[in-house]
Amino acid sequence: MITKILSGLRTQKKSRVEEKQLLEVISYIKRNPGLSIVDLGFNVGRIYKEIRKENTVSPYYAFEIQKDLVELARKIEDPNLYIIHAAATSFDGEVKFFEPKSWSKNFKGGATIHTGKNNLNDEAITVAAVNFGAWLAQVRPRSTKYFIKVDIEGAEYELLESMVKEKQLDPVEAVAVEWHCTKLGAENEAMYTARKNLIKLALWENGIKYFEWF
Amino acid sequence: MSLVQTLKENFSFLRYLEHEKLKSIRINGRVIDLGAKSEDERYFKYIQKDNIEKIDFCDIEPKSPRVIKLNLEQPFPVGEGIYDHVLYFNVLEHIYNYRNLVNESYRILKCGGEAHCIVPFMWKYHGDPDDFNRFTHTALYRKFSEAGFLKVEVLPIGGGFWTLIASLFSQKVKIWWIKYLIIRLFLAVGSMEEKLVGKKSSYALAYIVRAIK
Repeated sequence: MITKILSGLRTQKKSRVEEKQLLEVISYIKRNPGLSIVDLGFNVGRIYKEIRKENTVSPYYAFEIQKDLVELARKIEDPNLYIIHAAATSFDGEVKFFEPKSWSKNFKGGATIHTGKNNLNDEAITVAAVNFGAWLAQVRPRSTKYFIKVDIEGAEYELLESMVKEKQLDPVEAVAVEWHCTKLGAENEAMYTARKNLIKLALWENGIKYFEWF
Repeated sequence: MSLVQTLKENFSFLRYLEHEKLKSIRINGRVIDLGAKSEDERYFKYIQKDNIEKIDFCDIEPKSPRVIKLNLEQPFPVGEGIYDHVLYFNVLEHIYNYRNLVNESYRILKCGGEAHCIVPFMWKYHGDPDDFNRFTHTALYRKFSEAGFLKVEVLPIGGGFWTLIASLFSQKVKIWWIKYLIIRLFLAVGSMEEKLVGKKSSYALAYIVRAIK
């Protein structure tokens, strides 16, 4: 009984933190209406819906690797929403991804191209891969700056490290990243935490506004 | 060895936790133990050994004629790519020029060879002859990676606030069974907290590193 109550309180606390982080991001986007938005890991569009309450006109590019979620997203009537059925990576071509063994209650999240994540199915699914840094440089008019939400289940390290290394951060004004340091094996936590902090340092060095994501 | 036996023999709670972690280490081929003092270090009882060719023991102050005198602050007079495993347990904190130890351990390993290191974190100053360093898990990852190791795994030994309290309190008493009761009490509190509010990984007493060349 006590365990259940405390577990409930813990969940509530986590929700409050997430809500606060989301409000910070929404408030930033509201203050910067000229930014285009890129959503890496669109899922069912929960964050899209929140952002659209404040900003209905900015181009919104949504990357999603799961076909069923892409089909759902394409039913959304929004002329400024562009759905890209592909994984944002450091190369063009194809990449394999893996779905989790079970889905969470509310979202079909957790599928990833990162093979080291806990509790993934063995069956690989092939999806298009887009060199994200190069894509950003091509798609934008020169003056466009982006807010990028990154929730790609462990693949964020390789992607952002590659963007730093290839000097592809110029179009990026702000990023919100969900990190997965603790979900990629206890023995690897130090490695992923160190890499996360090096990426954050590089983002700060490049003058990019950084948001911790849930 | 059980926790009771460890405490009866006047070793610390941390030493018990280290011994438990050592059971996951498997060594074979040619091995070098850096900072060994003697060839019968008790930690060898816990490590899994397969087809050992030879173990070289080294220390700045050998306590046995079979231990080679070696100053870990300076480049080692040892050729490249000789060893399958390099061990240094509770040594890195005593080496002012710690980069030399990490870099040299990389150099003397064969390709695919492994360095195994234990280094205290939340632990008192203990000069042997001196005590210079405490590294976080991320610092250890970066130091070993920068030395050239291809894969670096770092795991905490004894994480959590209550484990730290158990360790600190147990050092304040001399009688083994009181130490035992203190440790069990605080571990129980920690276990309860973990169930109630989730796992906390901070306050590691030490870290164990496995780095593959």
